[in-house]
Amino acid sequence: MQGGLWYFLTMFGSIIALIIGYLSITGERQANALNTLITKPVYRDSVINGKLLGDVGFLSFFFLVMSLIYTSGMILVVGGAIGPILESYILSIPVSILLSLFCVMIFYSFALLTTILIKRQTVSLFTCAIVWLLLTEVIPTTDFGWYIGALFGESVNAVWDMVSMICPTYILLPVFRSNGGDLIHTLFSFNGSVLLLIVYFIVILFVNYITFLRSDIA
Amino acid sequence: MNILERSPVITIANMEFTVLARQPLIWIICIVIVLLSFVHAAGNMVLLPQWILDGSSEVFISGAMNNSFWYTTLFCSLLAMGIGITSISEERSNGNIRVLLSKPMYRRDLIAGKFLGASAFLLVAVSMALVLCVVTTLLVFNGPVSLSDLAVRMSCYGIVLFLYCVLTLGIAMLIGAYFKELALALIFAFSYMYFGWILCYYFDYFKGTISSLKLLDPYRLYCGIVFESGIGIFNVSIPVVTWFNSVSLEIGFLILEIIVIFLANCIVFNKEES
Repeated sequence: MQGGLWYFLTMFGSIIALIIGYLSITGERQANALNTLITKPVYRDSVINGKLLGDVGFLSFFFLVMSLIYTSGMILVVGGAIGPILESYILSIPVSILLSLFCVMIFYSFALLTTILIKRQTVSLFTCAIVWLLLTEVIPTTDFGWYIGALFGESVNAVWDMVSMICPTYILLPVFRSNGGDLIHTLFSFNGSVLLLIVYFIVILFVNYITFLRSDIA
Repeated sequence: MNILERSPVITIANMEFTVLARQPLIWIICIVIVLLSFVHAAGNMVLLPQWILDGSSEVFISGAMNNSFWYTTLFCSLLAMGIGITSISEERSNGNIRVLLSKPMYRRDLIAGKFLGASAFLLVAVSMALVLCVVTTLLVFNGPVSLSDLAVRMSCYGIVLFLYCVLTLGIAMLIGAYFKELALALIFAFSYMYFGWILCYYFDYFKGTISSLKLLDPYRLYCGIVFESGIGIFNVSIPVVTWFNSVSLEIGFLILEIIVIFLANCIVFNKEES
């Protein structure tokens, strides 16, 4: 059930995050609001910080609502069968939301970066879409695992382990699938995965800052 | 020849084809398709010999070609979506369409020309993607292959994929014609595509008359044609004629959807303010 929630939040959340990241620069650039904004006596990093905070706030609220909908749906469908794990599941929801937020913010930051670097709207959104498709729909498939595994003489499972290190939505999937209800305890045994997710997010955010501060964004 | 040269539809189609060939977005998607073809071929180089158990020629089509379905469909339809958005929404955004609208021609000719040019481009792109997929895999595969069967099945698959891409193109053009803002059109088109892929699986839960609703979902319809309940196009134990007879109605429906979407494009575009 926790795995389902993680999948639900990250798969839909990554699309929403990608669109928000894309719109946060494109929308303002199109309406010439970005030009006005950068002439104001504010540091450029304040602009990006503000956007980041606002969008994190929105995504957190969105995830909270989605978690409530998902949980209510599951309770309605499955009923009393989830009674024994209900308490630990509800306690794990904030952790799931926080980790999902880290995961989708990688896509958000990537969309922001692409939109800053590529001025042409169609190219920037489709570049984001291609990267998203590759990371969620192509690379983590069994076919792709077979091919890469066959080439390097590795088993499909070994390739899956490698793949989960590349694709943000798959980094923590084993954690959510293998935990026996106690998510927080399981997370400690997979702390490398959590760290990797955070490192991805920080690196891409740092690149965003550098790009935004140094490039002509108008 | 003279008639062809004078026809505004052909002129627009020719121009559209040339413009699309210069689009960076199209080249990005083409590069991804080429890279995935090489990964596919390289993987099959090792896997196919392991799958051949009795020396039959089935494994090439039912294994390797069947596995190419996902990435060819995914990126060819993304290409169609990109072309559709570029030809209407982006041209409106950069003002090119205003110049075209000032020319002495009917709007339906403009839409027909763009649709024809983009479809021709898609035909070339889909053919090249499939040829590349087949050739790269054939080059690394030393086992038995029935070339005539391969050619017939891949041609049929290519035609169905092309029709699905043309339908996607029409839908993208419709979205571009309806939404005046490029960013909004892009987001709507991408969301439509993604949720279309997801919703397709839920049609399997519908039973009875309501299950015919799947005909309205382009992706579900397309998957139904390619993998028709156990007698899919890549199933070499079933003759191609049998497959075609069982899916001819769905193919007809796919063509009908393309015509309806094209007409809807003409109607929406006729209301476009110049």
